[in-house]
Amino acid sequence: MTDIRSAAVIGAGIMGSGIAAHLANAGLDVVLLDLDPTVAANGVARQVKSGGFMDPRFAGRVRTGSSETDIRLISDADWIVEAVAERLDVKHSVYSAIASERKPGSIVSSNTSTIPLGALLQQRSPSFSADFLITHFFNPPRWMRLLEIVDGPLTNPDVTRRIAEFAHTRLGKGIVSCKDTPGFIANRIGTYWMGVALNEAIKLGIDIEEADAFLGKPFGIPETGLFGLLDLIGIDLMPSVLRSLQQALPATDPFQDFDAEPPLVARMIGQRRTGRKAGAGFFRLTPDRKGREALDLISETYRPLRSVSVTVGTPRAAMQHAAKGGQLADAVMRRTLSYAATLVPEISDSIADIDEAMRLGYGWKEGPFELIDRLDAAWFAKALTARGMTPPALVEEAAREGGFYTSASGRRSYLVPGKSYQSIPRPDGSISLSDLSLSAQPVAGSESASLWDLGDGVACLELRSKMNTFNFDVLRSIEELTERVSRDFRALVIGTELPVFSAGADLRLFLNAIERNNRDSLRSFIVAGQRAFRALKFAPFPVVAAAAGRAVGGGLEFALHCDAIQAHAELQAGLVETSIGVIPAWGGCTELLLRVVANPELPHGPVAPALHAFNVIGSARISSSAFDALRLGYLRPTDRITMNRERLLSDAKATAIRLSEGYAPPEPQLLTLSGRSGASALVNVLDTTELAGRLSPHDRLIGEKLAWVLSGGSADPTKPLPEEHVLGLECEAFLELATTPATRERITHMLERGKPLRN
Amino acid sequence: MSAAYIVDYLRTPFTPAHKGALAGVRPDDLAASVVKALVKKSDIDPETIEDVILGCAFAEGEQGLNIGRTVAVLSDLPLSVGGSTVNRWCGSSMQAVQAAAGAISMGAGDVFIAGGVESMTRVPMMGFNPMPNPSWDAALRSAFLNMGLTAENLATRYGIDRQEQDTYALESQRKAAAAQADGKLREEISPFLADDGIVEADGCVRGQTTLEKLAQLKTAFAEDGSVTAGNSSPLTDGASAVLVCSETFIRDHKLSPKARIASYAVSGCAPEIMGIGPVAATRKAARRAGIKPSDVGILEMNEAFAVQVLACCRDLDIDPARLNRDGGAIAIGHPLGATGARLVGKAALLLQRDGGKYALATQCVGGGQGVAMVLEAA
Repeated sequence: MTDIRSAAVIGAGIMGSGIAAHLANAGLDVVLLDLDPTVAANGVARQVKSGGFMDPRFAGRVRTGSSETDIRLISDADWIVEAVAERLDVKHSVYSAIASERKPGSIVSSNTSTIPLGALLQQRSPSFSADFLITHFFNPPRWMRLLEIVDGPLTNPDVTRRIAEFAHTRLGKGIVSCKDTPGFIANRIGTYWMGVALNEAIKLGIDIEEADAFLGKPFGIPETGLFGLLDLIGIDLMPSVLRSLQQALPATDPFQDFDAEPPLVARMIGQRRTGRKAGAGFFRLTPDRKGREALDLISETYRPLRSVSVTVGTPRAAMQHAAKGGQLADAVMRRTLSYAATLVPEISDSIADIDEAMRLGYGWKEGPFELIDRLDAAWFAKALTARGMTPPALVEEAAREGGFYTSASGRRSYLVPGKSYQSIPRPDGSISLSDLSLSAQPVAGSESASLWDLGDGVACLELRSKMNTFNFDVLRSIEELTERVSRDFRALVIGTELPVFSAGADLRLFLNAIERNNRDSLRSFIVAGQRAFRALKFAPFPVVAAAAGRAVGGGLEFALHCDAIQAHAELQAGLVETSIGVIPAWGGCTELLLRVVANPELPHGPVAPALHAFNVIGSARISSSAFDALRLGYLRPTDRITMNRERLLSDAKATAIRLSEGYAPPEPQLLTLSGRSGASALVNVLDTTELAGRLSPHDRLIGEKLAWVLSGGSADPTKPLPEEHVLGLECEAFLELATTPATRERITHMLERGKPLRN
Repeated sequence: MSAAYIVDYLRTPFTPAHKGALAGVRPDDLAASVVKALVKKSDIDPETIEDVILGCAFAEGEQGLNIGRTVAVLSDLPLSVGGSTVNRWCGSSMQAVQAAAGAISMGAGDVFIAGGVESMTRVPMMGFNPMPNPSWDAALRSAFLNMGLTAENLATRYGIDRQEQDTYALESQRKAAAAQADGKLREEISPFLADDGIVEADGCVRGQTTLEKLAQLKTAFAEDGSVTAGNSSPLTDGASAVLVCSETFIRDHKLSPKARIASYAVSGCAPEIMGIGPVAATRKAARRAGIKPSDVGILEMNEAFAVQVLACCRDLDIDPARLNRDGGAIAIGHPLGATGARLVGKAALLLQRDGGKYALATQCVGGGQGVAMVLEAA
């Protein structure tokens, strides 16, 4: 599949060590070198601490050393990434060392964000230049999905293709090809936005909370807004970043039109108010460390946070708002969006690539051209004119054509200047339900769920409820659609376009039944869920859950009933029912027990699997990655992990096809459970937790019920019981807990505040 | 009745469970390494060995399959040598020494290897599949399974505060670190040859700790309690063994024993204050040896918890400063099944090194027991 099996990273700073960690996440053997080998070792330790590794054990895949004395360690590497300081002389000497040690055919790339490719390659041989390109990662490399790739006239196109394919499939990156211009795409536009916004905000003397409220949510820009982001990056870093771009760009570029280091910023740096790393920036913690304070841009003193009472709404409403925030949003976005439109074709020929870079590199929900579409290109052109600005030709063209994007042809297409629309290329092997919905209708479905035809005899079940939660209708649809699949398809994939796989049961439904003290209604909800999920489990075709994002509570129970889970690497899975005062009762306890018993890597015997499940369910643990989910026992060792979310559905489809050859549904299993003596050991865990002050009174009751279920009630270890026995216990324990006032408080609290109550 | 003698003693380095240098080593291999080294060092004819008696608190998994016999075979001893496993939880290997001495006194053999092993990394405390009797009420179950709770109970009953416990713990660390620095532990340690190098030093000792650092630790068991990881013994991997021989064997082979086993005693107590077990056991063993506890010059008392040692000293009217000259389990570690033989072996070495007539080794045992053994200079 790929010929990149080992890698070396030179330079073990934040970026270098983060890239090394992520290469290890992809299963590679990695060498990480720095001048001082202890810096390299510390880099690995830092990544373990900050979560750069998807499993802390992956740190064992990274070998560290000195880039001077251990440079021969790179001789096995298929890919060598240079991530040293942004100094041309330093980079040149590193390349000389690489050139003499690397093996023929290895690929060399630089993580530079400021130095042109041509300058990097001065004095290098043609063969080195053919194997060389820029791969620009974003921080932190595990989570930021953008990889900007810049190749030069001498770069072998096959080298670029290999890196792009590897980074997409194995590193999960979104690849954007950039031209060799300063700041490439994302930083050119992103730092312009920051520079303009900072200067405008200071000029207006606006409350920084108000600024972030207007610049953030309405435009789909992350919650950190501007000032939270500056604190995170480091306020002292901004002037040098902005200045270096200003120096690299021509005098006529609008990037020159703002102050790279406004006096306020200079004073803040002087006072060591440089952001989060210094403990104070635009925000700081209150002296008691319990709350936060904001810097007043006029008095330059800290004051308590002010809540922003205006509802901002759409981007257009934000820009037209009378408040200072509205003036800010108008000034900043008018200039930023229009600047982006002038950068085609200078930084890229494709507006779709520019939008993608801003989404993946800066976490914007929509890129600049999508935002102009949202504002309406014609309106935007008029708004520019009204403010005395000349609308860029590209905006005028979009206004004439009816926008930057269209789906009229049944495929999502983007405006190519002078050539009308072209469909957005999708990487090989990616399937998306939203693409599919532009050209096809579901083969069956209801308001609750749709069934799509993915081709090759594979169907895809997509829930349509909010956050893919379950109510009676959804459960009924699952049963009906399962019937349909068994008639017309050979396999089923469960997938979604939402960022969550499923948030589980609809809590309002629970709460209504509890408030009416309607035990029968609760029981029938539990029974309906168990029946629907078991219909999937024992269906005559294989079912594969394509799980990404959050799969919690009933959402995870849904996935646990599938023959396989195709997991996205960043899967956050958890049986979190105890946090709302109940236990998993849609087969979650039963299925986790079955998985633990069958897992050769987890302890065995009459109590050990129950003890493991008890600790996992009792703590409501949510996995920090798919690899973590594997250790917790949610995933089977045979389940497969997909690094790139875009490939999840197609990978799940391939798994489903593979399983459908000679498929036979599973047989119900017998479980050996320890009964009261094992339960006694589990309750002992509660005793110790209680003594340590980490168990609330209701936690104790929930724990006792959970112990009872997982040890099989009155089971005897010499008499294995059918799995349905545990299912019955789940239902009973659920009903007993659900009808307590403390559970009702927990559910109410979760619905109202979105976080768990410990009562 | 034949007298029994401690002829020799060795142990592996004791290293922290999970993160120490021996975490990857199977406990049977660990114990076999020390048995082999002991046989080699004492230069006895292996054919003369009657039995390998091995203490182990949680004898399952890699510690199962009668680890005593497993270790006898792994140690390349003649197949005629027996092997058995003894379980008295933390008192297991002191019990193993008693079993050897008891057999000698009834003429059931002349040469025994008595030792113990615990990999607290590879077999969890309380085992993989704990199944306590469900008829026990919560208090009894908890007293049986939660050692930290029993330590907190003693702290409350004896009014021993956090500072007193931390001060004792610091002293244990200081003594162990000094002994380590002066090479005083070298004689008893048999280095372990691991796949990735030789392990020759104890790994648990924290000689750099201070009272301030100890005071900052969170309580480990009870939110409002006083017992911390700093004033308790750590989870440890290790093995130990002593060579126990009869008087006639020693005479015939011209061996120079380190000490004679003078007496032994076990005594039960309330499970919820199991840490007080050494008091009654010590009194019994002293009486059987015909001495008073105050006659004993060398005192090795296991430090499961600082508070438990302090409570025992109070009842026995012993100055805690007299205990554990080279540091105790808080610093050195407490691989459950291996500790008893370490205490007996160490007491015998100290008698020889520092002089004196009597030495005492004693320890508390979970579930509510104490064991004690009195040695007399040979």
